[in-house]
Amino acid sequence: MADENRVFVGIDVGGTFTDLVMFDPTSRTLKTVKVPSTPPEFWPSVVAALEAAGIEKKQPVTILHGTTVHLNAFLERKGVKTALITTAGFRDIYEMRRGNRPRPYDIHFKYPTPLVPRKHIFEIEERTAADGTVIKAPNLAELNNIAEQIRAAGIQSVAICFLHSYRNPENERIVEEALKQLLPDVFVCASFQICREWREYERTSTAVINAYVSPILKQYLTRLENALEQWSDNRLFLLQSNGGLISAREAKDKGILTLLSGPVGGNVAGRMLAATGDRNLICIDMGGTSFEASLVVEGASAIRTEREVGGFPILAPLVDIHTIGAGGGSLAWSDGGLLRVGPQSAGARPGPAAYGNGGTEPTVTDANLALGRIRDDATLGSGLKLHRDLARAAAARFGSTLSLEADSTAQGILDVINEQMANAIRTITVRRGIDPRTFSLVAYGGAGPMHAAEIARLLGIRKVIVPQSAGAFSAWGMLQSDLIHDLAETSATPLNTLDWQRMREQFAPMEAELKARLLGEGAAAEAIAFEHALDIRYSGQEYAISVPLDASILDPKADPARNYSTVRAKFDSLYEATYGHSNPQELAEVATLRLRAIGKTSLDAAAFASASRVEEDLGFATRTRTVLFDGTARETKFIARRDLKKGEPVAGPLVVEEATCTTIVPPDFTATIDDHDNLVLAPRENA
Amino acid sequence: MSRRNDPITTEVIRNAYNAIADDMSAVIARSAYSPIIYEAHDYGIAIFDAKARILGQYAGLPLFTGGLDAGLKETIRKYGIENLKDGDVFTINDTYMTGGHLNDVDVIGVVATDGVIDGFLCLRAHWADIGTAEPGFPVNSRNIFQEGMRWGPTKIMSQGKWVQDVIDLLCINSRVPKTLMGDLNAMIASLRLGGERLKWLSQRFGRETLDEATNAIFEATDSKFRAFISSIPDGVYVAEGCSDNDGVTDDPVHVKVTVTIKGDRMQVDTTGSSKQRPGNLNTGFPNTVSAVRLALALLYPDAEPDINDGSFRAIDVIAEPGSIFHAQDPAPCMRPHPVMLLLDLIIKALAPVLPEHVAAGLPGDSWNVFIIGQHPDTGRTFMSGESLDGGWGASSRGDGVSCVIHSAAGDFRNIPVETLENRVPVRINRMQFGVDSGGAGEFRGGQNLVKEYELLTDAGITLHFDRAKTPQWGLFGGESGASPKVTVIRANQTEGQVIRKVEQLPLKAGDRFIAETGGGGGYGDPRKRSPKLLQEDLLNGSVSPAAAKSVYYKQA
Repeated sequence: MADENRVFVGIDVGGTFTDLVMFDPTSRTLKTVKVPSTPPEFWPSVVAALEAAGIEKKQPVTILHGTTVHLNAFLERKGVKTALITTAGFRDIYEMRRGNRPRPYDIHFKYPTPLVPRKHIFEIEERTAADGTVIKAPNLAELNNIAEQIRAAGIQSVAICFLHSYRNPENERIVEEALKQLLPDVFVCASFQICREWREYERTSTAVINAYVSPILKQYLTRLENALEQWSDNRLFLLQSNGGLISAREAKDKGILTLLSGPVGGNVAGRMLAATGDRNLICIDMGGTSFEASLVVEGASAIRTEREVGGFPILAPLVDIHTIGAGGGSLAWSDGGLLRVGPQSAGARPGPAAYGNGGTEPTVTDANLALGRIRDDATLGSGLKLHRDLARAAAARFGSTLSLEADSTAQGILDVINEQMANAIRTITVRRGIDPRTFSLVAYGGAGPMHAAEIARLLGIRKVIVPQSAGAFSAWGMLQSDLIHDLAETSATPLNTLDWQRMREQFAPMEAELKARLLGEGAAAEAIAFEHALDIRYSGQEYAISVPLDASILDPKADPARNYSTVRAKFDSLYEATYGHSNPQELAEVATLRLRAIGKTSLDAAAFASASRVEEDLGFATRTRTVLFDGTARETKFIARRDLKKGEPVAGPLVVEEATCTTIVPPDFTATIDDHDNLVLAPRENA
Repeated sequence: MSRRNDPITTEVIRNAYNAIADDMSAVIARSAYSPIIYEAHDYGIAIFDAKARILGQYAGLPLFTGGLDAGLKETIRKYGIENLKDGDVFTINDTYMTGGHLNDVDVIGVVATDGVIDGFLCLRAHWADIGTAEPGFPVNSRNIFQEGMRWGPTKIMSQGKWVQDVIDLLCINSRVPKTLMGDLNAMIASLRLGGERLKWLSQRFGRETLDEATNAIFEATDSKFRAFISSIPDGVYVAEGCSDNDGVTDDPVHVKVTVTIKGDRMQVDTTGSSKQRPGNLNTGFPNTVSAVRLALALLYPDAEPDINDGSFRAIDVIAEPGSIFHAQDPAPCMRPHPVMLLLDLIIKALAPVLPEHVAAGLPGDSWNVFIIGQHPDTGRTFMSGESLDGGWGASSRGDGVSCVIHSAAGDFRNIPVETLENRVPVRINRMQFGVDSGGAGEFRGGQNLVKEYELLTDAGITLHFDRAKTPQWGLFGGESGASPKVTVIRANQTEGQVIRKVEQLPLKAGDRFIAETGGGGGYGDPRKRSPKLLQEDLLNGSVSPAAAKSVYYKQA
């Protein structure tokens, strides 16, 4: 992607606002722009952001983009009309799921309604055995009939998932090609194109979600590309759920890969932050309705190979983002005399009581406002006026049902929500064998920096980082990501008898496939790097641990015995680190081969880090107000972030304001701007 | 921070208890060796205070969790609370003390700081093999001694160090000692995590605050459950049914339940149920108590009720010693399936007065299939064990879910076809919902599972399918769901033979068997079913045109 005078922009299109961060390598400047998003068609907001940033039409520009257009369609059940084709005899695998009832005391338990109704699930005679042998080739005569029914039902998209296709995709490939011939106007995608791991329900679910959302993404991208043609030399890339970029062209048929495109931006930005500072970070994003936490471990995004989104499993590498229903709009309620908060949210309408739109129950935002932590003349960037009196009244009214004063109620709401967020962080750290006290907390998103110090206190974390443009942090992350593609193949081989030469031969076509994809996306051949890993488990276990393979192991001349002992030792020690015990005598087996291909972008990290910012003056004047901290009224300075001096610690209590967010510095914390222009909060030494 | 006994601190502490149990669960699920633990989540976890009162739990298998206090109390009784040290770990599987069958082993960790008990962590998980006569579960054991090794409260770890003699004894009695140790290590890792968290909680709040908050949590929960019971009209409510047989004789096993509601208390009496039987469907009393607790939790209006010491203070359970629900040594107890019928009958008994809360007949058996043989390629023994899903009962809120795990379990996952076919030389020819298997009703019962197995090598199968004589009933005019059965079809034949319970039936490569589980009961008169829903049923193939005509449109 290297050429002279090209500018790079990261654009994160959210539900309400679109953030743009532009980097000009020539002038070494960074610029941030915020424009309103334009639902339901979100592409015009991308164009508006580019125009607002003043990018001329002849200017070569690379656009790195995160969108939630297909995630929202999925979560709101507004994907396209989709059909599924399965192996004969297994039509019900998809609706059957895994038979578990995660709410065991709920006599009325139901799964989310399947994305494809049974009447649109078709069976075809075909079968592959567990070892990959084709027992029965697909009966294509049946396919004509199925295609006819799909056409008649007005179906726009078809997923195909056959048993054991992760081992041999031949039958899926035959049916996919034949169906594309029969239905040229319908989106058709077989499971092996996006997932090559065993477990038929999870793989079917992955394929169905892909079919359900890809046409939406495709339409969005096509319209966006057309609109972007005004910029004569533009290149468009999307952020994927795995934290890497993909070209818009490649992304169109694989909507599943970019499903979490919006939410992962912050974690990727955290990864970049780790490149110049702390290597271990807990990244938190708190918005109106949800709280998201993810990790950067030793400079790399913590990844999960499977998770549920919107009630359906996805088998694909995704940045491990843990979401709970805790946000500014979370409602307080009484449960038999106990104070509970969320997960119900006041939403945009009526919103918090302070909006004056008829909300009567106090929310987290109301609690912050009632305690004086948000200036009551703030407008939250949306032109919305906040009424502190309404917030206080709501807290008082609710508090009286619990025999609590208004102030204690507001403080209690914050205590409970902070605790829930801290528990969510424990979930992704403590239970994975990570001690959160050895990590720094990175807070961004509209409400994150308001709660970060309190959350850090609960977890024993000693450092909170509020990065520059914390409100546009995701866009900043997009700007700095690389092209990344993942490929996995199920193996199920004992580690001690693993044929290392055969393993290398198995990796070779995977490498060729991903390299071709990267070259097609404009990566330079010399900028492509591979990361190999084996997912290993003790024989008989289900979950495996990913063990990275270094170059010495991949060397054809490597000694197999040494390879075994090296990989084995690494596995045992990773296992020990995660679970606190290991079993070096036990047989280990390779579950999956994983390959990651990275195409480095030409963005010069050093130039980027030293870039100066073009900032707008927000007209915040420093002033002092009374704020309640844990029941005590404190005279608190409200100061614009740009007025803080680098390297000079300021003691709390303090409220630091900027265009996109507000940071609360409690009385026992100090705030400092560090060398990288981050706002750093730390407990005072004597506190 | 030293705020005490306020609704905020209390809520923070309540959250913490449940978070600890959830995190302990994650450790077990990810590091256990047995598929039945990591895949099927066949385990339960509970946290107790120093007085053995339940604080919070993870109800992977809720029937397990409801009985965890019993084994803990036995352990405290035997060793004396003053002799329990931080890092001590005990185990117990004695059916008559814990209620679980012998394979369900309790592991109990002591958490103490400076010699004062912070609390106890209890796990119950299904152990792969504890030295039964045959691998898997025996269908036809006639006394407890044929069901494997039995032990009362036994110390396996002393202040963090293995009591190696006991571990050796356990291992030598198992066919799969490595798996046993792998699972046990996973449980110890889980106890360690839970212990650290519980100590941290004590440090942070101080014991007094913690105790006060805990009492406040119990009180709040107790008053909510009492309010619910008070809302049920006072009266005596009775329901009856039977299990098909006890595996030794073909006589039905009678189950009768009398539920008495008086003010804010509920009494559940099983008098009138069968005396303990020579076959192995008897159970220790704590399991009966657990089934009653589970029935109340299912009826309780919250989808996710708080389960702690306050939840079950208002119930009394009566089961005569020497009956199937309060078995005495040496009654065999390997397959205590009548407790599932019992919990469902409690719901049925209360249906007339709680029509909005109940569901029609639930999947009330675990419909087990075991396949055991020698692998033709490796010569090694293979074994698969499955618990098949059935149709959930319909309710006033709508149709029952098709193919979910039985009512006594929860987050129990089935084994994927691709995993099964990789591990065992068997091919699944179909796995689908049974047409017309959900009980007809204004709201239809969930559909059952129809799964066809074909053996690729000679092997033995063990089957345990019950509830043919008392299929999942309908309510308020709804019809019952399909009866469970297995049809075995030999390779050279077309006619099959129906079998429901058998141990190690030898089959040849090419032989097939078709397992059909129970369908959910229907709710309300089928003729009232909305034409729109019935049309969807026909399009989806859940209901056949013939049944639509004869059942849903039949003349009054």
